[in-house]
Amino acid sequence: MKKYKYISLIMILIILFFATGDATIEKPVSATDKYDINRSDIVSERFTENQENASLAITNFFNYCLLKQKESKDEVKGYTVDGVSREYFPEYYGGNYINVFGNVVFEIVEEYYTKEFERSELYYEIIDILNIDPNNICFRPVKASYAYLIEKMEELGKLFGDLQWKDITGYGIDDYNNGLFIELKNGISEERLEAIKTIMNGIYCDLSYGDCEIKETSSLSPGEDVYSSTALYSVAFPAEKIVNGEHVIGYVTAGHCVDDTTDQFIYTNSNICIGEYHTGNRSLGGNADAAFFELTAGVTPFYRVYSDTTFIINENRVLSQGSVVKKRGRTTGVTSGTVKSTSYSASYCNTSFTDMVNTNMHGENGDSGGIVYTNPNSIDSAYIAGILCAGYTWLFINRSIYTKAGNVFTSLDVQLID
Amino acid sequence: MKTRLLFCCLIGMILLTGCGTSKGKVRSNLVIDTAHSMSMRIKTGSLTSKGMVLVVENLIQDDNIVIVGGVDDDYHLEYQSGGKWYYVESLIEEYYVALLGKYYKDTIEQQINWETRYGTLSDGKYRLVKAFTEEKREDGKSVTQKEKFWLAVEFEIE
Repeated sequence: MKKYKYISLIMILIILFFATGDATIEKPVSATDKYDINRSDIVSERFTENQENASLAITNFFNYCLLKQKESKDEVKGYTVDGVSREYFPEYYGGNYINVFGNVVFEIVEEYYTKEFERSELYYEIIDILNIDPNNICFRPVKASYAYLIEKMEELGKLFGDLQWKDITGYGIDDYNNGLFIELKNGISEERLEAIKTIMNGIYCDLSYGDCEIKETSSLSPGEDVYSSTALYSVAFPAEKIVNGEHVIGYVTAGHCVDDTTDQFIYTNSNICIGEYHTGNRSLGGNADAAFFELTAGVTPFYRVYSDTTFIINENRVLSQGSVVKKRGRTTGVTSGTVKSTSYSASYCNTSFTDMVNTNMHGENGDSGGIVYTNPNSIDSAYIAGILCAGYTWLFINRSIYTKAGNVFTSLDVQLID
Repeated sequence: MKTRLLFCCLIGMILLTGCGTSKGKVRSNLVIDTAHSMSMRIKTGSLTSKGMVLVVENLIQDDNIVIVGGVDDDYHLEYQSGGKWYYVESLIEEYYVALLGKYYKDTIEQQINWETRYGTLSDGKYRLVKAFTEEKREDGKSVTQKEKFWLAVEFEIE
């Protein structure tokens, strides 16, 4: 008798579990992630604990550099950070900062950030120097070394010293943006601004004075969030196009994301202008929903999926039915699924499309244009599959379709960057 | 005793069937945000059994709050039965929409035509539901918080 009562109770609990979880639509993924710098001073106990571990690790790192400097018995000269001059920061080091979880993000210069970095000797060497639990640190590739940023600080110091600090309030290293920020006084001449820009030589530089803010160079990663004057979307992967015999470096996104009636600027979430779309560079219909836009001079196309550790190999792959795929878009971040159909026709935006790929990945408004990639055999690297374009959700059934990378190349007359 | 067990199994099967993904009568449990500064209404005189002109109005004055929604096609219809809301069954098995994020600033008019997707609606009480995301930004820059919400506009076909 008791036995049946228990069985009945368990069944009711199971039924209630499924019934309540079924049609509930979850809140979207939080915008914060491990690469986001912490901007809040109201933090959790866990954050505080993580930050303590992080600061100890970074202290260990600076002590290591300082020890190397002392061992050399060289005279300490130039600009120093915690007593360390630029020659004694390792070439691979690009800076560090605390993320939203209180953990340290340790920046590695791109050349040293190999495909399987977290299996490399350098990775273990750094973990050893910092004496940190690998779960409490993440690594991020950057363009400039910390030593180079210090060199720029020295050059700016000389320039501003010569100018007796007439035009400047202050300047400093901006680890998070892997560059410098310079606070200028109102009324600085164009000539002096040019002198600053010459010194910066393509390094990220946030110049601010009065109400005006000038953003200099930046980077763009596959799957990163962008916006134009009318829409918010994502970008897929870097590509190049030959225009009048010259290689133009740019990025591809979904065709319906751009307005083909007028040229338009494209910005990142941080309000940095990273590119410009020129009319005529899109394909909307047939086998492609794709567009190509030119990157602004100085913007570096990165190959690491935005806010993720996956490295995109500069090759595309044709996928079979049943293949595992992933995508990265601004709204739902990284999601995965399998290929349901390798040549699929559908209609959206009042346009018919053919030879698309149908998957069961989840996507939402704003994910359009994001990269679709595949990495079944690798933890940390992936091949390009295509551009996310449209989706369909019915309760917990998800479908999304993407334009094949091969169709992107032929329809837009672009290719992967050599 | 066996009868009790069979009864429990039967109830369980009925409930589980109700939780499936069948496009039969599926109840909507969406919570519509009626207090939001965004609102939707039907343009006067535009409602027919095949569509409407939807007016979406954003009255938020804060520059650090951005409302992102889908394209015009990104909506669904629900009908009322016994005081409860149910999804209107789509004639198209999988109805795709572009996943573009669209700014909803000031007032936007959208031409909604559901004939292809739902056919001509029969008499009854309906609501059109759209999802939006409210994005809070720090000094107009990086998004610091996102919250999804649903708005609906109710109408009757007679």
